[in-house]
Amino acid sequence: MMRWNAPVVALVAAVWAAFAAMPARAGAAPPITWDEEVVELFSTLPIQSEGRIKPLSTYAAFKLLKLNGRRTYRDPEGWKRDSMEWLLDCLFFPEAARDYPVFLIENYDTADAIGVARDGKKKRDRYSYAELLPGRDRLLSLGEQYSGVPAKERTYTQSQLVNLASNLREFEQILLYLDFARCSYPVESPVLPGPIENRLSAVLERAPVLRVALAVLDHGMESLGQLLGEEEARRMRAALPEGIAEPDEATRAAGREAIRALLDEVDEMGLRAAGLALFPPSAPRDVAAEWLAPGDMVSLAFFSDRPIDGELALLRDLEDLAAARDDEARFTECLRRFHGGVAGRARSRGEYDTIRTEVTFYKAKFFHRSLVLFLACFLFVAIMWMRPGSRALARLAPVALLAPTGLLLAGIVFRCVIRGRPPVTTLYETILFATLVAVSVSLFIEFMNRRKTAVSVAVVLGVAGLFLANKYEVREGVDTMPSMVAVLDTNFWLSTHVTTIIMGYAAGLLAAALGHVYILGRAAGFKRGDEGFYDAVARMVYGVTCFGFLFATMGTVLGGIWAAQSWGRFWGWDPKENGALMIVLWQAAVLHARKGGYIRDLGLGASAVFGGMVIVFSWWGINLLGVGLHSYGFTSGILHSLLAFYAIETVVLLAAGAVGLRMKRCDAGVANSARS
Amino acid sequence: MKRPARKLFDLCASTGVACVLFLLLFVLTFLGTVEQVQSGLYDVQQRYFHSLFVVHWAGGVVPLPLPGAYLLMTLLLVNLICGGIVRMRKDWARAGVLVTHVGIALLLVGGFVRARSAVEGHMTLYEGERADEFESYYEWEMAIAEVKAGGECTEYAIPGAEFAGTASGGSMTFVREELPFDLTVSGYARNAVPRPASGPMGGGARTVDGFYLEPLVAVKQAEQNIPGVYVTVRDHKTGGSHEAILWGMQRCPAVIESGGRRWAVDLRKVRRQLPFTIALDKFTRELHPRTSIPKVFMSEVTKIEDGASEQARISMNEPFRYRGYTFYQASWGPPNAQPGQPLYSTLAVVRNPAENAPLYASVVIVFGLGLHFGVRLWRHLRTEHLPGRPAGGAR
Repeated sequence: MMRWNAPVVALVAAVWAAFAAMPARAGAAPPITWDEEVVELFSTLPIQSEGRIKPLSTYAAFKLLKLNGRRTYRDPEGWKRDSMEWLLDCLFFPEAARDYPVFLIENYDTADAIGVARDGKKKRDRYSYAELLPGRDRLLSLGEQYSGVPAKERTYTQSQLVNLASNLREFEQILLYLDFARCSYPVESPVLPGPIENRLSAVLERAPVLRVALAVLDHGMESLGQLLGEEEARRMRAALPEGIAEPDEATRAAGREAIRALLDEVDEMGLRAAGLALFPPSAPRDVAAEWLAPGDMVSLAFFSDRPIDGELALLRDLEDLAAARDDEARFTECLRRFHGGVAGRARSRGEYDTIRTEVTFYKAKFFHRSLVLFLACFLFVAIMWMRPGSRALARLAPVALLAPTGLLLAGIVFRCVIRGRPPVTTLYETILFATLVAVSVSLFIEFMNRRKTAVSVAVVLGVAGLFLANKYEVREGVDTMPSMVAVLDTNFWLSTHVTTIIMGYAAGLLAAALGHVYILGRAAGFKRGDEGFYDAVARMVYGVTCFGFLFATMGTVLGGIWAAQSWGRFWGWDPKENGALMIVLWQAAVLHARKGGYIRDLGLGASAVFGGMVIVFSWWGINLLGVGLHSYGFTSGILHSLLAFYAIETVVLLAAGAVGLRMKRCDAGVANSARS
Repeated sequence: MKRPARKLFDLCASTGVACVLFLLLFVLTFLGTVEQVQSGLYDVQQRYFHSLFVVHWAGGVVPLPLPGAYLLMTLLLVNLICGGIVRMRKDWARAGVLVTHVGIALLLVGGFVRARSAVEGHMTLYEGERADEFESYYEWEMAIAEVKAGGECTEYAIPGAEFAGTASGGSMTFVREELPFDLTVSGYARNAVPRPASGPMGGGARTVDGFYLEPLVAVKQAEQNIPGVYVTVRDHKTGGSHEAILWGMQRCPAVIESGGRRWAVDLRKVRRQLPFTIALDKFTRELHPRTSIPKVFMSEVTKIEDGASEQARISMNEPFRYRGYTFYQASWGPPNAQPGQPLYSTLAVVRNPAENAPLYASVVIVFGLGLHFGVRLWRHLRTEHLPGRPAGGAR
């Protein structure tokens, strides 16, 4: 033990020493690690994005996921960093963040199309903003050009260019966001109604006076009475600088120029700071639902009469925070103040309740950990099959599976609590919930019959479901808790129709998985001669098909009633409705065919496999058609995966045909030998 | 030997027939779904699902004759009644299935009643406007009205279905005793636009008052098709005739003088009268903050009847029901409205005598299926765990 322990300890110590030697915050260089409290405070800072209030950590995670294809990245020194740190570097150390390779480009064609050097890069590789900069203009131009091409008609490279251009713009929004706090404003002119402190919040505070000063310079002091009314005009006159009251032409020109220069700068900074809506309005939520970005404050200050004093106080705090980036203690102190101000106001508007829960949810990585445990269970189950005599392993396997299933359930429950919604409201959640149902039903069967088949299928479905969910989340790269469109904004129908139909999908897919066991087991000669095993599998297929039929029918009928409520008709032959009907019709045909004796166990297994294909068509295939009223479920870019699935399933069905022929020949052989 | 009637009953009640019908309906549904990409929802509804027979063109070239959904569902209903209700053994083990079959039969009957009797359309109102009629989405009619002094008006309507056949050539003449003229319709086009005959494509086309009707390819969104038709009016007394082009989007009807009276002839969407008036007081459209994702669409309306008024709110998932009519929030516009620009609200209007049949049927079906599979599961578990049985147990 000691022989190999020593080098490991030495290595860990060396890494730790190197890590510790790195300055946490050294001058203008990016910090290698942010202080834990700073990260925590930023993580729990609320932001309004995509129509909802979410933690800044969630915003950061999905932004980086969209750009980079994962929630972490490696900085130029090779350190693995998480999304929150990346966002902080982008905001406070943009000069360093430009060099982080976070733009994932899938092929050389995309890089070549914008003329970016790709020396030493792999075909699928990550580029930094600095590396993309020489091709920026061309990229934005091509992105705009190809975004006019309908998504279905774009080539792969065109789609890549459209996405990359969009990612680049979003990145720039973040990178330039705090420029307003770094900028030096031209506020020194004596003809300005001052003094004005050199910061945006101070300029915005003086916005009414600046507006009036400009009007006076353009139209003379007498215009003020007409513009504001006598009392307000008197007050404003007192605020104006001496020279403006009776300006000569030179003063007038200098004043105009000074104010215009200032307003141009403010306007430019406002445009750069339009991305992150970090400022909750002072007014209650039902009066002012939209949070503000500094860019919005510029518009409000100069083009509306809405008072924004409360928001400007928070803006000052953010300016102080940005100015303190090189002073760790002061930075933390400013951050506490800013966080307290924003979170306090969000809380008073009733918009902070689930922020910490959401941060906890993402930190806990329920689905990732569940997938890891499912994989571990997969190994466990493999060992169980290799040691068929071990009753202990057989008894332990379903118990072991309770852990990943519990994590999956916990994750789904967390999502319900955060959203205040039933478990399924998006396509992503359909995968999670279907996986949970399929695994739970499998475990129920396993605890009932102890045949080791259901638990094995449960492991495979658990791994496959969570792997798919992860792939889907990465591919979409957007918040998986989006705002609900008006037609879906009904918890009653979401919790009845959507939940039951997904339970129907899950059961149908479980039946299909069991059908695979039957067909492939027979084809491979597994448990040859053990008819009890195949009888049991067939019974499971039948039972699960019945379960699926019950829920698919309930879900379809409930969907019809919902459609009658919102669209005025029970049934409209819309593609998504038809998909659900096809599942019901297929399962009804299978159950009747079994009852009538037209199919037996093998036929039931093959029917279940085909039923799985029908479910996948209804669940995903129809979303590709891009027609119908269920537009909120349209998908693209999964055609190849679907075709691959159908090709594999066709092979399984052909195998079922071959098995059927073989069984027939065997039966004929047995009959002949019995006769002879 | 079985009697023919018995044989027929057995066939109608057969499980095999049920399987075949399920599979045919499955195939029809699949083909009809995929076809919607090319032909749009309305066309497919009419051809595949509201029909007795359909010819599906596989790959666009190979004709594949199939029974339509009306025929299949009728046969399914017969099969269900014969095999799933009448012939089925009435015992507790099958009680759930029996109840389910009754529910499905109710659902199918409700569907047939809706298909035969329901009317639907929409009314589009700006705030402050009111209406006591609604307009069909797809059905067109030709309206002939005598224009009298004082705004009094008598209208005659010819349903579009009666002259749609002239699209493939020929003409149809409509005669009514009350009218002093015959009206001959020809050259109907489901989607068309009138063009000046002097234009580049005008040569050779039938021209009326310097215009001809150019047929266009029908679009997938059927409600966006604007039909056009040629009409010839022949005066009974004088024998003189007058030609006109009628087009669905023309601003005012064609005016004809006949028998010393003036008549307006118009091609328009079918309008249906309501026994009360609906006024739109306020329309609210809310988006999720800083997005273009719709959050709320809501119309606040007043129903006015015999001088009495009642206020109601109509929003997504919350329709307003009154005297057999149901009003749903369907859409709004104009689509690219600028902030502050007045918006209109479109309410879908449906009158369906079997409106509640799906709900009742659903309750019955779900109860039946739950009962059946619950009993099956219970019996299965009991069998699996009987002492002395091997694991897996015998069926």
